[in-house]
Amino acid sequence: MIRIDHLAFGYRRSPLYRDFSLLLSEPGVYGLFGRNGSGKSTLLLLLAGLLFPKGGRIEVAGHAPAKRHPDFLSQVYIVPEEFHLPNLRPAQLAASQSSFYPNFSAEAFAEYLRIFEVPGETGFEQMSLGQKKKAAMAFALATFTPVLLLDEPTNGLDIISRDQFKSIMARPEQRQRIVLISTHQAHDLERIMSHILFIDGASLALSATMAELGAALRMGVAGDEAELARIPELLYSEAVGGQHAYVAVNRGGERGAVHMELLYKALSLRKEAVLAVLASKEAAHA
Amino acid sequence: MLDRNRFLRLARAQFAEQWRGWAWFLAGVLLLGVVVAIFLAFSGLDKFRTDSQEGFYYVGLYLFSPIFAGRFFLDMSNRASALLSLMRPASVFEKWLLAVLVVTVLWPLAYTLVFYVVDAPCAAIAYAQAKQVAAQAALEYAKNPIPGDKPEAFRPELYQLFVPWGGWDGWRDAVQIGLWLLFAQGFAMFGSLYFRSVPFIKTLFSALLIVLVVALGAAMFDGNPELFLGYWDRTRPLADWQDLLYPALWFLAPAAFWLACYLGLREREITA
Repeated sequence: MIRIDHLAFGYRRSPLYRDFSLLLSEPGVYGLFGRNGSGKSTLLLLLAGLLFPKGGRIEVAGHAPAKRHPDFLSQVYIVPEEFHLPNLRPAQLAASQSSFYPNFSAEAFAEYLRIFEVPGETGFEQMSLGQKKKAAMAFALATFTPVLLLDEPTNGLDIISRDQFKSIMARPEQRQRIVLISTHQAHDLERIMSHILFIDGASLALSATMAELGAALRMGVAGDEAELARIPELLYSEAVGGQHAYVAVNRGGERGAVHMELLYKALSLRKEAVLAVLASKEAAHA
Repeated sequence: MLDRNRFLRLARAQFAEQWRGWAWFLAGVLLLGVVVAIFLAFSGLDKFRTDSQEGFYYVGLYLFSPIFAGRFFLDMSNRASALLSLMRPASVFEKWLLAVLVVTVLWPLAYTLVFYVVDAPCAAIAYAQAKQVAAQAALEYAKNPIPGDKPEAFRPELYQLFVPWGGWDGWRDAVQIGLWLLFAQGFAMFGSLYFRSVPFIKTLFSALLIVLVVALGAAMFDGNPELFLGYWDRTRPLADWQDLLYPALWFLAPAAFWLACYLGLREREITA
């Protein structure tokens, strides 16, 4: 479980978080979104205990991360955007590091390496950046720590590798833990996410499940401007070639598909309107 | 704070990651030792008398030990590798203790081994050659004795293989050497943890600054820096307060740096 109460944090004189609160109590894949500089990576570092909050309280897996207690460290794994692997082969990495993580699965590690097509007998220094990233990810996923923090996990991966990553993330064994993914590659990961978090203006602007978003919002493509004009309660639209992608209020009973890039843009550019719809749906549901 | 199994896991992981770096460093020391030995051999094998061996040993020890200590947390100068190190599931105390053991126990042993790899053959050759030269001189003198030009007899005690404690004049020497070493290593490690960029250069400049400040302070307040720096070799009695203060400072200075290393590890943050 991850609980943040009234977090305050900033670098030197520029505050990044003020009175930021968040509760993630259910396992699942949480997508963390926000504009550049909104503090997504910083939040992951705070949750990992690599940055210390200036105010408020953070609790991850029953621990205060800033204390970096060994029991906490064995329950949380982070793969930062700029990652490092020691000059070892994958098997050596597993042999020397896996014992720190009680749930580590050597079988899963081997399986993920196979899916990622990472050569098992090659040292990390001989691997390409993408291969190294996949190896780091395979190890992180095989630790089965209750909390996994991934910062831009698909950066540097080719299209095939992104699919490989998604296929692993979609596996049932990865659904038993909290996976918090900070990313700008919204479209890449929408299929695997169960929950969306959107940070804006130093606080959590949105926290909703994909089901809630699908029930509240309707996203699609209008063939031309006339069709777009006929869509009721339009929240956001953008031209895509001769067509128009849009986000509108979902008044029907059916749950629509959620397109992360569209939602991301709508939240970034029409935040108040989108949040008002979600709030009204939530209130109606309650 | 300290869990034996976890500590062993940490040691195993650290060794798996760092042994190459340590081995290369030792290989560099070995290579330098061989080059120096060859150079000295050409300038006369009397350079491998026991007292010379002692000089080389301690010069190397004081030179390379802080460098090795400063490299132990080399990964802390890189954001990504520092993150990996800080996130390793072990307590700060265990990480610090491992650093202390490797730097203050394993390193001197490894250095001593490398020293002997170079020194032992040189000392043996110097011993044999000095013995042969003395025997030859004695033989020639016996054949053709020139009054007043009697060659010196071979003195094997001058060509013994050096042992680190061989030249110690009691426990005070051992304490002084140990504390100097702890101070230098603690300072180097402290610098590597506190300076985020180019830690080696900054630590070196800081060390020079400290030396200047100490020398200046000693000159201003006492006029005799030997009173403190030469406390363990003192030949005259000191005032009671000096007998309390100086050894306390000798112990406190390295302890302060090692404690600062612990705090530096505990308080280390990784900025986004």
